[in-house]
Amino acid sequence: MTFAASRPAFAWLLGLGGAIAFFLLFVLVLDRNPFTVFGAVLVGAFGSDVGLNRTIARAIPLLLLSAGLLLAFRAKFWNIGLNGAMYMGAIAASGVALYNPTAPGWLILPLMLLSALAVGAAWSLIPALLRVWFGASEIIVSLMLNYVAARIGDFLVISYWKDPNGRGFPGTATFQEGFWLPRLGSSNVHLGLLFGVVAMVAVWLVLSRTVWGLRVDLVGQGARAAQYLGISSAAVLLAVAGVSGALGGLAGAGEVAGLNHRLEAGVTQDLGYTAILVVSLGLLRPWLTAVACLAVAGLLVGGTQVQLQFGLPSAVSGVLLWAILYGVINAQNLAERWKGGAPPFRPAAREGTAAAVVSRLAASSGARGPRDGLGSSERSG
Amino acid sequence: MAARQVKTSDGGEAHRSGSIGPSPDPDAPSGNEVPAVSLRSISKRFGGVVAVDDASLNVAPGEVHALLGENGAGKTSLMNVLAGLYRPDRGAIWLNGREVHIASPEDAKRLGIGMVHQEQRLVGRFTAPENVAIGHREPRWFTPTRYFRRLAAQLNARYGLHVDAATPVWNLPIGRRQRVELVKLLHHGARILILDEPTANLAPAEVETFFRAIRDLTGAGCTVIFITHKLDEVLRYTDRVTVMRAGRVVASMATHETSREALNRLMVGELGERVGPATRAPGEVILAVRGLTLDDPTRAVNPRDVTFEVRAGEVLAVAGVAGNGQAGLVEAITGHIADYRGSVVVLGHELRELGARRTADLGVAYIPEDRREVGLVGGQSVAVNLALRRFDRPPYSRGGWVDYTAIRRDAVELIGRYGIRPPDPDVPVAQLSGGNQQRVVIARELSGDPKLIVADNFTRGLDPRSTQQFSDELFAHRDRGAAVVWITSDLGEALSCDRIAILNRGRLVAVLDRAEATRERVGLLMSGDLPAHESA
Amino acid sequence: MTAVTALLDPGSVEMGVIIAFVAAVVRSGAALLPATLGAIVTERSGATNLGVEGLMLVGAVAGFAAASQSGSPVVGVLTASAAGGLLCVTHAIPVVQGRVSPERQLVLGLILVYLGDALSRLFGQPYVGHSSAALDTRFAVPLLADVPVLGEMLFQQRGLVYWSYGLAVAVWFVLYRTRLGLHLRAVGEEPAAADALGVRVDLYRFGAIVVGGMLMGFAGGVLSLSTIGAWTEGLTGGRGWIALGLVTFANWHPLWAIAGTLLFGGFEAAQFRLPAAFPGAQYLLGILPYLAPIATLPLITARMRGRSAAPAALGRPYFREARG
Repeated sequence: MTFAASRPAFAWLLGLGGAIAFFLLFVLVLDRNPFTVFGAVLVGAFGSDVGLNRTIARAIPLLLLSAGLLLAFRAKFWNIGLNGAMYMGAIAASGVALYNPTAPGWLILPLMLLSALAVGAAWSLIPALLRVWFGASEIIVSLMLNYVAARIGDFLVISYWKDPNGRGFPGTATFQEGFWLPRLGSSNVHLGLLFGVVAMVAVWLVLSRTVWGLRVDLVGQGARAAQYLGISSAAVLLAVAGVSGALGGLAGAGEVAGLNHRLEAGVTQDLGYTAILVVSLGLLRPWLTAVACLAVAGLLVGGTQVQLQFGLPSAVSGVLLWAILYGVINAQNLAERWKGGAPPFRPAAREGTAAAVVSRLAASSGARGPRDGLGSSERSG
Repeated sequence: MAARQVKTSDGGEAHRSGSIGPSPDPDAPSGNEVPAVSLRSISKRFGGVVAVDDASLNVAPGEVHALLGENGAGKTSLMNVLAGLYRPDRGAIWLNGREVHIASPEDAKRLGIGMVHQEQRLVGRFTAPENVAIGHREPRWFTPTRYFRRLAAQLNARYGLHVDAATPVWNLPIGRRQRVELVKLLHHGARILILDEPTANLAPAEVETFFRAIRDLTGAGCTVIFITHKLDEVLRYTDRVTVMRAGRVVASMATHETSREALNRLMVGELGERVGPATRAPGEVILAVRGLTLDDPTRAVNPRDVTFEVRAGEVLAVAGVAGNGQAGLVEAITGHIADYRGSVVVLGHELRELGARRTADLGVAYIPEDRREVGLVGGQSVAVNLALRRFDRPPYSRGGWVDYTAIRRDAVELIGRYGIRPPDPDVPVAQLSGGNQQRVVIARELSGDPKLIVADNFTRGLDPRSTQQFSDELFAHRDRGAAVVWITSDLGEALSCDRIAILNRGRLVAVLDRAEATRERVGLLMSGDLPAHESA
Repeated sequence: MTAVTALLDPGSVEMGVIIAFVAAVVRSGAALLPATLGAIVTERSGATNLGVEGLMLVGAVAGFAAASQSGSPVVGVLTASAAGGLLCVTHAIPVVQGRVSPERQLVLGLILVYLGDALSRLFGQPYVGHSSAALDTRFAVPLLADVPVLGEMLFQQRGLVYWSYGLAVAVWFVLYRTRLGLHLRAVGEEPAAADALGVRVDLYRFGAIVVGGMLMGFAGGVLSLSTIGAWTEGLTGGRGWIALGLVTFANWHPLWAIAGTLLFGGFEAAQFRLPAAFPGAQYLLGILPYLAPIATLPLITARMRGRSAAPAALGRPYFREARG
């Protein structure tokens, strides 16, 4: 019994220990002191006002994105296209700013945010509609749409929207100051933080307290049960897709209106993908996810700090960051698997569970032969 | 009745020349000879659950040996140990007088042990010869298309299988697929065959054919262990029977030395009497189905021109072998589909316009066949599962906010009333046993005193005690005045109902009163061997 | 301008331009094809690997570095394959041994993308901007290269290009004409059935993930040594993601993947050959490879209902002792 109880701890030891051992070895090979390097990551991320500023600024889009992803993933709608929604949100907000250069800020700023919400939602509705109508895999569709959005952004910043005074740099001109999101003092932390916190708290309330949140979980955990109860899975999927895309778009608008004050190529910094990792680390629970946002943002910021301080190539922090996250994901997995030594609680081998949804990667609802009706007696087909 | 009949058909000769090993004397099913299989004190536990507890079993070469027990008695687990799928915690396995170690299905295969599982284990997309070739030592490297054509011809010749090298097995009828499973094992050189409830999806006539094929195999030197909970089949087709209860072997004897009553007692202990017919005359028509026809291309069989009605205070059985249109019928009479022809009227409302939600609101309870995937949401608590029908309306929610305290409070009451174990509203429902999961579904569906109850094979996979309890519950609702539609593939269950409608190939071939329904007649109608007009 | 007229107006066809274009299409496809094959092999076993982009990057660097050091492009691609396979061991362990949930398989794949990207930047630093003498050279296939038009289009390619297309045929042969392939497909369809017949599901899945990674690494090597002929950071430019889209496009079939890569290679070749009608036009053209899978996916899914070759057990971990 004591061993059974200590298994999750052992899993964490193995996963995190492995990651830390890798970190130590790697830094030693690069001929640096691992402890000072690790210390520098922490100090760089949380130890100074500048670092903390940067960390929180990084956490803002992550909060918005992962709040949206929480809803989508809890309904088992595998929207990995938030990077694209974020990009489109940034483009929409920038468009509003660029085409109304002289309009008053009190009018334009809200318009920027609203257009980002709308465009982001529309962008994520594409994979949702294709899934509802045709049973197409939302994973592949949303993934491809990320690159469509990125190419559209690239196109705009080097052509029509290019800053004529930008000396060839691919980006738009800086927006007028009236279109900037208010900042906290002289820091990088902008009003987006409020949006992020509100979004995360709202998602928590919705999921844990409301009828609609329970419906999201029911569709996610028992698609066929939802059908049996007369809950429309399609309506829930479209709703979570729309909301998650809207939050992604808002994250993009926050980056251009709050941080950069213009649109540049690569504005999302792949945070849409990072957010997928964040919600996985947060075990799809709002509060844990919020903590994971801060931790991952800290690692991102602290990592860049290290490369400045120790003269290491920028890729080093990347290797370390992803290796550590790899260790944590594995630790979480092993901890779940080994909990009490019981057989896997989730009936993973059966259809209709989590597995069935990722077999949507298979692109076809017909892949498993007859449709998953309610009456299961008819197995021939 | 259980006398040995060794029929050697043309296939039988072929078996002998095949990979089937030393052929023992088939006329000595048990005695002093060395058993083909001897399991000694096998134990296997999963987490805290003991599946098999110190079970021992001897099977003589060439016999058909029944392993009888209620669901969850540990029959399948014990056989999974023999087939190398589970590693036993304790105990030894002896084959033909030698101790062997079976750590994987590969080991079992090498020792000539093969198992046909309850769910078919065929690759649906593959053809029959492809399925048979998986894992076989021949050919070592290359499998050109002509290889599969040759293999198909070979299998057809040797085992009388009618398959080709082009049809995916998911397009074969279910009985044929089962034969493919058997042939697969034989092709792999299995001499000890384990069959886990092989007749569950077969029509009565197919069952007969199936056991004739089994006799051919034992005649050719194979040993067959046959897992079942059906007493009829044990008595009619087997040489010896071993009874398991709660993970332990409770008895083992020659079949002709025992009786139905004795076996039943060994298997479950004493049970109450079956419920009698309705005492009151049925009341008003609750459900009226007229000319119901579906065209769902994803299903092999759809209901065709189905007409029947059910009155308050009666139980109508819809009897049929699985896959004869039941699924479509159930979806139509519970309001889940709208694209049907004909009419389905519940209490004066045509369901086409209502949808599942409002149909349920009329007082239609629906106990689905698949409780784990359809009736329940496994990751949610027992309390939420008990409230699934009503969580989005008062008193469980107001203005979009869910009142989890109210849900929990009512759950505690239902848990007590229906005896759900463990009595904890917060435990995820997936952690409950099958019987208790079904209690949750029944508590939710029947606690509102529904007017129409649609129960779809709801005793499947339950032990006889729970089966008895739940059908009693169903009949109690009948006596209260509810109309009940019980979709079942089990003859015994069908015969206990007030009227029996028989479904074959999507058509309702007969509706019989309890008095005129005999076991033979219903069985023949189910298998389609008795034309409908003869029964009229 | 001449190119446009040549392509658009059949009356004034400049054959040389068309030949050069087709040859470029074949060359572009050569880097895409092995990556697609790698994903097909992986998914046919029932496992997923979203990390194609990262594995291609690692392969590109490893291949370029090894070729530069050894002077041989063949050593280069072999090293690229080894690097891809080795990195995929880190994916195979949690996916196969750890039996991670389907959603974690996605996350682990993403981690592989970024880990591969970071590793390639780290180890590729010395090679940025260097040209290598060991780049893949042209190889004219005897006799066939002399066939007018076709010979120039298809048979005067760099050596590794032939390898790529040869691999597609090899993967098809292994999947559909060997016992190994029969078992691999069975494991991806019905692991329980394969397991019961003594096919070792874990072994096949592990092998498929690693071999898939080798193919993805190989694709990276072809990219840096043949198609592009240099190493820069982020060399793949989204080709790994396109390869994933191509898997569905090709309906999990290696020979259809050839057709798919040629089409997508066409998009890519056209991107750099069409002169800019307006600034940034090639970016808009660059959207096509990503739009194509989206546009065809609903068609494939709707038309092939029940006939899609998507492996039935895709993404599902296999538990032998799971109690039913």
